[in-house]
Amino acid sequence: MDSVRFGKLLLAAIALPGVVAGVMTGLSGMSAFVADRPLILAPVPGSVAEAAGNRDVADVVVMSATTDMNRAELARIPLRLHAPAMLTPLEAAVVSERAYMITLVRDRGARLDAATLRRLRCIAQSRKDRGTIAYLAQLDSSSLLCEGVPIPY
Amino acid sequence: MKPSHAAWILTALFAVAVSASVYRIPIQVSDSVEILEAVDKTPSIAAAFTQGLYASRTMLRPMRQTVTKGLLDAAHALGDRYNLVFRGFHAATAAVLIGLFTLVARPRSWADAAALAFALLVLTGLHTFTGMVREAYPINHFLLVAIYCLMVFALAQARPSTWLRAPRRFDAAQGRPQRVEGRAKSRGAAGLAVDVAACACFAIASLTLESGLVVATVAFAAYAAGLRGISRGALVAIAALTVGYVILRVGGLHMIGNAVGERQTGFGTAMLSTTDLRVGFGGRPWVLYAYTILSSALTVPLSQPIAGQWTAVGALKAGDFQQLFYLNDICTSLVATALAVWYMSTRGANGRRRWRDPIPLTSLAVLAGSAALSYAYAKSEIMSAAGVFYALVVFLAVAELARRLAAGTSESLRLPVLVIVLCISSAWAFRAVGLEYRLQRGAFDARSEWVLRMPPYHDPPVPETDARLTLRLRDEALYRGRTNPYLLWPRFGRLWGEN
Repeated sequence: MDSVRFGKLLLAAIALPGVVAGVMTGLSGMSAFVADRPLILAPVPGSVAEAAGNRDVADVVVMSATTDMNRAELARIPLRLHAPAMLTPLEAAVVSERAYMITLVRDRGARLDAATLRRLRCIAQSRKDRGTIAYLAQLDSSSLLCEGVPIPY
Repeated sequence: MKPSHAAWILTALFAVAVSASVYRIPIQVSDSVEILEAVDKTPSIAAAFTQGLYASRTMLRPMRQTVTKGLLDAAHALGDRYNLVFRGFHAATAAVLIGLFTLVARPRSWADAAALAFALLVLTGLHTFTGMVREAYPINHFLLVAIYCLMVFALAQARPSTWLRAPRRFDAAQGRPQRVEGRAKSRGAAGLAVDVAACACFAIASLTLESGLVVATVAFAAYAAGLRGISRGALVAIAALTVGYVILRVGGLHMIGNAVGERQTGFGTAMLSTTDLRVGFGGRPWVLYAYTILSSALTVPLSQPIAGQWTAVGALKAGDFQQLFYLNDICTSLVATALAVWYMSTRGANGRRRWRDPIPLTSLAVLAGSAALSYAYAKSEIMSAAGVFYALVVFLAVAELARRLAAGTSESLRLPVLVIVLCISSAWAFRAVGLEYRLQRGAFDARSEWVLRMPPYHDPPVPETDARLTLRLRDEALYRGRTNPYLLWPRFGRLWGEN
């Protein structure tokens, strides 16, 4: 490699990652300004169960106005589940392992009858999450038998 | 294409990238709604300034209220579009900062343009930059202070005497007026304008945030290093304004400085609560102050500690060192700092060590000044102006290194050098792209606050009877869908999480 070529390649090696990052994020930024949607880390449309499972309290509030809060839907919860599962918003809220999410989903119209509560307690038990176990135990402190209760994932 | 054109195109791309992500963050609840509601009730901008004078016993930041009032008036005029105005202002100022960075760097050759591409990665990849763009206050005062610092430095770089037209005399031989040889000696009106602008920048910065006082350091350091854009008279005026600031603060408003235990701060590997601080350091505050100043000075070149806390060491001790960003942040910072130290120790064409050149000397002064101002508690944002100047030194170092390597690398070493350089700049690019993740995450968190920090889940930020803007702000935040970081590939959190 002669010195002239080396000089050019050296500048390219210094600049290239910055240029790639600049072009990539810059185009993504233009898309965000023009279409309210970045190209990088773009928002993905989801269900209310998916929002509840992924701690998105704002989407739960917005979607609950127009969605049946008791219907099971396919939900991706990458932090908690290896594969998407059919979950109601309440079940997804328990899977999120955030007690405030269970409160929010209930406040936004999800029904919590005895059978549902038992199923939720069993989900919390299977996840061994102390926060949601304690929260649900406040609602029903009777002894828990999970035999025959289907865990939806 | 000229190198400077390429540099400005790249600058524009970075500016668009950052400002678009900044714009997507809704106005946050904490530290925002209270001030917006309070300022909205003031009848005028002057009244907002007065309110700001008396808003706190420890903080003198009336420009925060003043600018907020101006933006609120604009938002009302546009039909109560608060997000458009406040987030638009934040996005625009982020772009201005990046533009000023390139203006001050003055890339002229292709080596400079390449170094700028690297330095923009350093600028946006540093954790001190994140604080300026992630926190969606009504105005991000840390960002504004960094802008004032760069503006004052750019003014110091200016040569107002060359802006004046050289005088003309009638040349009988030519039969028309001809320019007299040489430049005008007088600074004239242009020089006066530069001086006034520098003083105004300092006055506004110091009344925006306590760390705005560091703008004076920029002016003095730039002068000491040989820049004469700002005259000696203006420096005297800035010194007088500093004295006036102290008189206003202590004598006029009877304000006190931050004492131990007013805010949490890190010490060692722990983040200490205000109670812990009072118990541990109430009787010997100087220990905490010395530690905090030192840790603030280290956070820019080492990316550790964060807010006084050695988070990487804490994670290592806890056996949780899976998070790649600790390793990448520290390693990339060590390389950049080594480059900066090497550059500052070399000699320039005039024979003197380069640490005495304008950008390096100002960088050291801003680092020391910002660290001293954060004596009571450490915060990455307070060091953000120092981070900007650090990136400028890295720019100079990389440009110089590129020239030396191109001229002096033996043939056998050329390929290894290329591979090493590419690895280092790629690591910085990876780190800088993490800003996008952190900003998207910031948008998600700020939007979530509008549910979790509001009734019935939290006390309202202002009593509901006093809340005139809150409902509208809440609607604007909630009905702008944002990326859910938890729905992304989980390892993103490990790659670019919070350090």
